[in-house]
Amino acid sequence: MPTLMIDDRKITVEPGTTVMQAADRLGIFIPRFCYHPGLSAVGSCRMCMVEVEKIPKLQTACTTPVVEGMVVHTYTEQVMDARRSVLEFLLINHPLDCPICDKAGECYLQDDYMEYARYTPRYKETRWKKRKVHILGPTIVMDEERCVLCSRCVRFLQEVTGKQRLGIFERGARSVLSTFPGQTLTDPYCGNIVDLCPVGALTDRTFRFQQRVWMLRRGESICPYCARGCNIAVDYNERSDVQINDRRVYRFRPRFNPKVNGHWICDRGRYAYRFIDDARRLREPMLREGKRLVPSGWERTLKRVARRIREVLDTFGPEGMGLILLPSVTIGTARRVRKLFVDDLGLTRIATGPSIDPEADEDSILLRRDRFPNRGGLVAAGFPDGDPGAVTEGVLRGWATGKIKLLYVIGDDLPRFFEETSSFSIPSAGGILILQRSMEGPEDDFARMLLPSAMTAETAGSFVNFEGEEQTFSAVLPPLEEALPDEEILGRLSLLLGLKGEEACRHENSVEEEQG
Amino acid sequence: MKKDRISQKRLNFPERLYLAEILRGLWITGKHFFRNFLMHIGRALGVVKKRRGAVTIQYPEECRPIPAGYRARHRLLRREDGSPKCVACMMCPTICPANCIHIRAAESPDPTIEKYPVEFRINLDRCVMCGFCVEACPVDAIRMDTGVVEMSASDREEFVTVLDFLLDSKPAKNPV
Ligand code: SF4
Ligand code: SF4
Ligand code: SF4
Ligand code: SF4
Ligand code: FES
Repeated sequence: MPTLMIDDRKITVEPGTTVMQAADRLGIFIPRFCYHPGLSAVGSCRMCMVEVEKIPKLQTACTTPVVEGMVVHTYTEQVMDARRSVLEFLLINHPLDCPICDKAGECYLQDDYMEYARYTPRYKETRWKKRKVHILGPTIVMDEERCVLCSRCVRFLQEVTGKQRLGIFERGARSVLSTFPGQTLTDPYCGNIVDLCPVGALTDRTFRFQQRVWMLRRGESICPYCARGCNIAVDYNERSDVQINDRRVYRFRPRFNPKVNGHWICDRGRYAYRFIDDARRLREPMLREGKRLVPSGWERTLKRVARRIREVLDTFGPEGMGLILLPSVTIGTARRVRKLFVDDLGLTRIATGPSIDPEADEDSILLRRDRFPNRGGLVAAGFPDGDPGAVTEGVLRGWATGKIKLLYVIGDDLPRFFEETSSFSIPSAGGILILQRSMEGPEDDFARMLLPSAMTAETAGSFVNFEGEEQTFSAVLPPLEEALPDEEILGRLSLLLGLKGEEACRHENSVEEEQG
Repeated sequence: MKKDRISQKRLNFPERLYLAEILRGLWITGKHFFRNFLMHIGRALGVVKKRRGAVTIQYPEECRPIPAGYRARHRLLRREDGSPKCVACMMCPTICPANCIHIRAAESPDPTIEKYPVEFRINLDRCVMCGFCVEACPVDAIRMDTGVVEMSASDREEFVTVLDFLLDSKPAKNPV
């Protein structure tokens, strides 16, 4: 285990560690462009130069492995001079685009210039003009003038996804990054290269020009779109002033977690940010009156739900009611469902949703075919770990044949779920369908009650992913309009059913006032 | 003890009697009243021709000239081809202390411009006329030189100036 000194601080690291990694561990920041902890180190940008005692020339921190007794200085006159020169070189052809550049505010070049450079430019020759808007794929656009040729994006596609689609073409000042002829960036992970790019050369066509990054606030959550449960950062604007932009989520970005997703997320999760403020979100509780569903407020709707549940249980017994709990809910919700519907009401026809989406992809990087984030959590909450698909089919058959008079579905269905189980769309004669979820869907036509629930970014809770990793998260935003977290809906419902759970007491007062 | 920086002027004896001061005030007001009165009559009869009819400014027919640097209602400038000069960089809403500028940006068809505002609103009822937006603009697209200082409306909505209105506003003609 070599021990070295960086800026008069001692650290012992494993052999093979680089100076950059050792400095990062000490919290000493060395500026960089081409180095990224998730990719191989190539040492091409020369921004990370440091002084190592007994070596006459400066060394690149990202590619120099540590040795016993090494003494490194990161803030000497010579190092600062090197940084200034590298930046002067990088900025030779770089346009003064910061006011319109999407990366401004989180750009390495901008930050480093302010920190280390501020030189008087000496370059007199004409600058190279390159393409400003070069569309590389459905989601990615390239500005060739801003690229610093760090090759992070090239290495990402090569090393992480294994599909080489990008390369650096031409030579010298004419070098440009581009896709290989005839190819476009359509990989399910290519959104990551936008985060990776240290400058504003690669931008996201859906986020581009929507917001300046300093106007966004960052919250932390878990991606609920597959069994992996990647860690994400939720960037949103919370100014809900009448005249300024309403609260809106603008992007999801990966959050590093070595146990789950490493540095990356897939594009399916990344672009799911749009669902949060989507027009198809359910905004208020609804009751069916005649042919139409009408907004009816929480108290009235839940009282009706409770009354119907009681009626069905009294007339047909627990066999008359079925429940589908999709593993998109948190463990807390699953526990509460178990307590309320299994322990207290004695339901037996409970299913947890089919596990496999036949059209989803699965790969060895992140994507899983099971599109629910919390199957493990349902098992932890006491639901059986059998073949959930068959059980779900059974419940749905019971519903279609009229044995189940009341079907309660909790959780966000994923688009294809109900298509494969066609029996669902046939309403059982006189049956009551209650949907508790976040998005509108074609099944709403058959529902008697709609209970809008909050999305993952709007709730706190925990998920257990397919590898058994339990991850806790808190709410980033308040729920949209009148939506409520699943747990709270169930808490209120159990109270109206006359079953006082401990947490349910929280809502006791408000409910009793309404009743009186 | 240190003397207060803002100290009141001490009144002398006749001032402290008040009565004299009240009479002095009445005298000043009365003097202007009768002077304007006579001058107006004189002008109406055609006796007074050269002099003004009053010592006071006859607002709203007459306005005080606005100094050149005065921060009046905003306008947005255009390029030579008529398109907005603003590049929707959002520097002005970022700096605005009253949070009253709202901009929605979109991709410009011209790749050298890249970004342009499709929506640009200033809520004048919240604006504190600080001029920070003018200072912050990197392309000199926004100015407060219209000379318009009279802003009144019977509806809040009327205080919201929009892109086309701002682009069509003209600078003040003859600032002093
Ligand atoms: S890449 Fe960075 S330095 Fe270059 S224009 Fe964009 S923000 Fe400015
Ligand atoms: S596009 Fe960005 S990530 Fe790719 S080489 Fe250029 S600067 Fe590096
Ligand atoms: S003058 Fe000041 S308050 Fe008014 S819009 Fe400009 S920055 Fe905002
Ligand atoms: S600062 Fe200037 S260019 Fe930027 S958004 Fe405001 S008016 Fe437009
Ligand atoms: S970060 Fe070390 S050379 Fe680029």
